[in-house]
Amino acid sequence: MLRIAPGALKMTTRIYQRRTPFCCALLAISIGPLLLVSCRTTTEQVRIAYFTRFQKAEAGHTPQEEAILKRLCLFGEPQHASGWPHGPTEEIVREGYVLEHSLADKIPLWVCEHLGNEDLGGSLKRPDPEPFKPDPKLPPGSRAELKDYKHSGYDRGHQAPSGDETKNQSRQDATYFLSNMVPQIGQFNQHAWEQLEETVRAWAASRGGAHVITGPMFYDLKEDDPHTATGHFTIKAIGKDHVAVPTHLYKIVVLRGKGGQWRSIAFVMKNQKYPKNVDYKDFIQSIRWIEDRTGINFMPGLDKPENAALHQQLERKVPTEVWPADGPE
Amino acid sequence: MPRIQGGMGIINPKANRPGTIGLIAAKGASRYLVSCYHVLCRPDLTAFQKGEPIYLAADVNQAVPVARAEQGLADLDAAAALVVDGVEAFAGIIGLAPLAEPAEPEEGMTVVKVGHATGKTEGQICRVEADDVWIEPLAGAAGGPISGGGDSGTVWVWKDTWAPVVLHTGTNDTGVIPYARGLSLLRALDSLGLKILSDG
Repeated sequence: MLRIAPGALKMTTRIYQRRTPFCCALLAISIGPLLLVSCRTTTEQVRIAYFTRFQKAEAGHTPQEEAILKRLCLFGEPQHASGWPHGPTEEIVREGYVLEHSLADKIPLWVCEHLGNEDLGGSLKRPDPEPFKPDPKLPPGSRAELKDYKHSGYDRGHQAPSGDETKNQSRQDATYFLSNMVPQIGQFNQHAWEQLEETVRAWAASRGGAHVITGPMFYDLKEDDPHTATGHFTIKAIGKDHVAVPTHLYKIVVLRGKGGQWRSIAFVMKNQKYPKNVDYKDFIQSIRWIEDRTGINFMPGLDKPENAALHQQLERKVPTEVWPADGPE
Repeated sequence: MPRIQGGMGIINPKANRPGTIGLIAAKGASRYLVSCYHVLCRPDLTAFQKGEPIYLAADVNQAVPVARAEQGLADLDAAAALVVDGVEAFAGIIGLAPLAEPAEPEEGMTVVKVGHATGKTEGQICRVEADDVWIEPLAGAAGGPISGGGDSGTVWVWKDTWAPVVLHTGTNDTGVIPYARGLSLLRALDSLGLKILSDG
């Protein structure tokens, strides 16, 4: 049991002496629970239910949703790789993005967008105040809430960025649903990652559009080495809803190069602080590498036999340099 | 006029989510198409209006209704729509042998379905609890998923006898193996007061 140490509240003046019993009581009430909390040795964590009667209805997309999916998901909607237990998820389709939300982690697995003339080059600025809100399409208990992020030390990191929607206010507002966020180190979100987002927008503007898939990763380098791999690692979570904090973020960009051929580039960055000047070349990865570590097939349409060459080109070949500002050849 | 049969895609514009015709059933001289409540009536299982038109999913302009929503059992997620006069409703399921009488689902049955989303896929009934049925992909099966969005309402048929056994209502894809989930077809038909239309 916790007690406040005797003598700790001794005061020297009569006024304070008179107030001492009241102060003691006030201090005990205010500090007591904090001390109790700080001494707890148990923590809560979310597990995917191995046995569950959870069931997802299998009615199809509305015609409107089908049209959005076609527009935003270049080579089909990302799919779970076989054998990966991603847990319960919910798909959310909006005009500006499509995402698959993990009801266990309360963050998206992936977010697909298309950056084109319909989005870029408009006059909309970042809203002030920014309209962050929980996603009404998701049930409480299976989604992030504003209070989960409050005082967590993490930014609400957009996956489909607000800056990608500068022509349509409702589309920009829709990027502020927490289903489109992951807990992200603030300095990373506001500098290195934001700079990458701007670079992608510049490529999209110069090449007439780009398809972008962004999302979180849970990855530990030690699992890539048989000598150090243990089959498990620790992650952090924030808030009462245990919103999972990703270890890394990925961003995949697919667009037509200057010669008209499809080109791809992908980046993986650790969710950490970065020096002021980042060389993005150091963070280029193949899409295949990301797929192997996320359990997601980002462009399932490439699996068709007729797309074999394109599959090889887009998912396995890795640019050795970051594309120039006006996009790749 | 259109021709309809089990396995074809359908949509109620009020629900606005396509699904699949399980099979054609009958009560007296009337013909019904059987599917899920969340397809024929409302995806959120709320109330619907009798008479709402149902169209083939292939009828993109929704020009010719093939049926009208008639009965819905939200708790079972089963429903029936009265086939419109003049529409030809055929027994059986596209691409499968003629159906036998429905049977109770049992663990171990190898079953096949034809769905609007994933076409013809096979599985094995791995768990039956009261009217709830779990179906897993056949061991060693290659290729795509056992079911997908748009398959709701289709009927799983026992391959040994071609007896329809399960009304497909959804999936559980939370684990390593995605399961199809369904409801005893006999329970659904009994509750709707219908019998399947046979070729005879």
